[in-house]
Amino acid sequence: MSTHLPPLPRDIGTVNWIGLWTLYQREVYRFLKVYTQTIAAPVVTTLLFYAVFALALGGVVRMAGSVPFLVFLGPGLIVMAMAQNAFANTSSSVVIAKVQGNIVDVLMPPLYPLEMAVAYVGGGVTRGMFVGVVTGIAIWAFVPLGIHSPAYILFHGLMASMMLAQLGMIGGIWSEKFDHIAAFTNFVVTPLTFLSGTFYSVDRLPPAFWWLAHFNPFFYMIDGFRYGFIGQSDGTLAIGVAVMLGINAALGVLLLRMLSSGYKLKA
Amino acid sequence: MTPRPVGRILWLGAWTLFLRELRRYSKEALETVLAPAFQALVYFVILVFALGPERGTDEGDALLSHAMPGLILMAVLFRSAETTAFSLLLDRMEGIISDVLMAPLGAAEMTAAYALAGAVSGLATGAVVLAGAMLVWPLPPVHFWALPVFAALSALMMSLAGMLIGLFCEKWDHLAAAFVFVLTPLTFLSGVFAPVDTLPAAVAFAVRFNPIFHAIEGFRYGFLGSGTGGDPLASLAVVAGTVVVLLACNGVLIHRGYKLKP
Repeated sequence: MSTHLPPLPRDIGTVNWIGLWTLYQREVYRFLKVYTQTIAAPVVTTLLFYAVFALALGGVVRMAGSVPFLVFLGPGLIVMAMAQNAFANTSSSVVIAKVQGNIVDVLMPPLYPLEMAVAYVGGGVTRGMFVGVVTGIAIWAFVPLGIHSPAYILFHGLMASMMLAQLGMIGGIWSEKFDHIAAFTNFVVTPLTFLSGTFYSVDRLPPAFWWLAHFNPFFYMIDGFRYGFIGQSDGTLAIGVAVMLGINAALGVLLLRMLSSGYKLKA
Repeated sequence: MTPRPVGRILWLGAWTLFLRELRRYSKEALETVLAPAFQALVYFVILVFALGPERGTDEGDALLSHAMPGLILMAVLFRSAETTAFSLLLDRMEGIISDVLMAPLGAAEMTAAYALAGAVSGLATGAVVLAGAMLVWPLPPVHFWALPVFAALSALMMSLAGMLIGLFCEKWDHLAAAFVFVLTPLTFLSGVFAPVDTLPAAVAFAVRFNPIFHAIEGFRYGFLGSGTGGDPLASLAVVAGTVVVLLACNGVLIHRGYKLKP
């Protein structure tokens, strides 16, 4: 008589690469499937903002520092679109999954919080980069932008997308219904992306706001990204790099804590 | 059992549908009133900040005074269209449109109830934005009559346009596309922020065939007087004419049960 032993658990190693890659792929396919809404719509919206604010302000505000206003405006709008879309990708994914209940499909597999976070945030960063490249090309068609430092463009583009993707995931986990995340988007993320120097050099701000701007991570994200194009910045570049690394690390810690404690995810 | 007489017009039914639509709007006041008001404020602050040293100069003030009526009316236009478009599409997708179709409501009553609820919701949101605007940038209206007239007609025009979107679309993607690729460009390029003569000549010419441009132009005339160059009565005629055309389109489509009845 043979003894039946229970099956051994499958060895998945230190990192569940298949699970991580699969979840990342799902996050990317999610937005690629509806590319009119996730790529084309932000590009059109960004171009509209570009046209409208260039026309409205172009007559009065001709120069921003030593560059023409139109050249100044381009990079700010590109990074704004990247940030908003990185945020939209993770926040919508988490909230929809929570509301519909299919978040269990992600919670059940043997994925560590870190693997989950990397896959989701990776999806958001990918969307941010996609939107950034397409928006950049579209703006380039109207106003040629010079590249001063590709490293700064890449670093701040990546950090901006990562910051907002993490924020989106945190907001998504915190939200219990669509209204919550919509309010977070409308009253926190959108104003911060709009008012942190996309449309103007912070040197134009009244003193109190100028002072305040230097405590705003969104300001460093836009400023550093723009520096990569125009070679001119409002803030100190090294501080910008440090702030972006610091804020991403802090958000990462918060996100991992939320995921490992199961905050608003597990019963 | 004889059918209950409802009279020539089912006032109770139309009124009930109107109220239901308004409640759907007021229930989500955070998204439908506060969010657009906040958005308008953000746009205004961008302009104020971007002016920098030009703040307080005649040129800078003129720019802000030009933008303010545009921002107010933009909130009215979008809200009116969103209320009807979202409502109709949601009801169609969820199948609960049958609750409305089953009631002894004629096409005229249904169209009127939806369109008026959309217009009233747009005007309510607009009133909040207007109140906020008057706190931030007080602008005494020059021709007061034009403000309610153009606001009401534009709200009606857009709520009817929203109904068409709600009828034609099959899913949320379509609705989002209609707003992002059609309504938003038509509105943004109609001189909300900047005078249309700053546009390239061809675009500035084409814009004159856009009813939304005339809506904004007429509303702005109410605030600024004849400074914008256009003829407010011509704008009034264009907006009113568009309302009539859209009303007829909606009436016919709803009467035929287009995408509503099998």
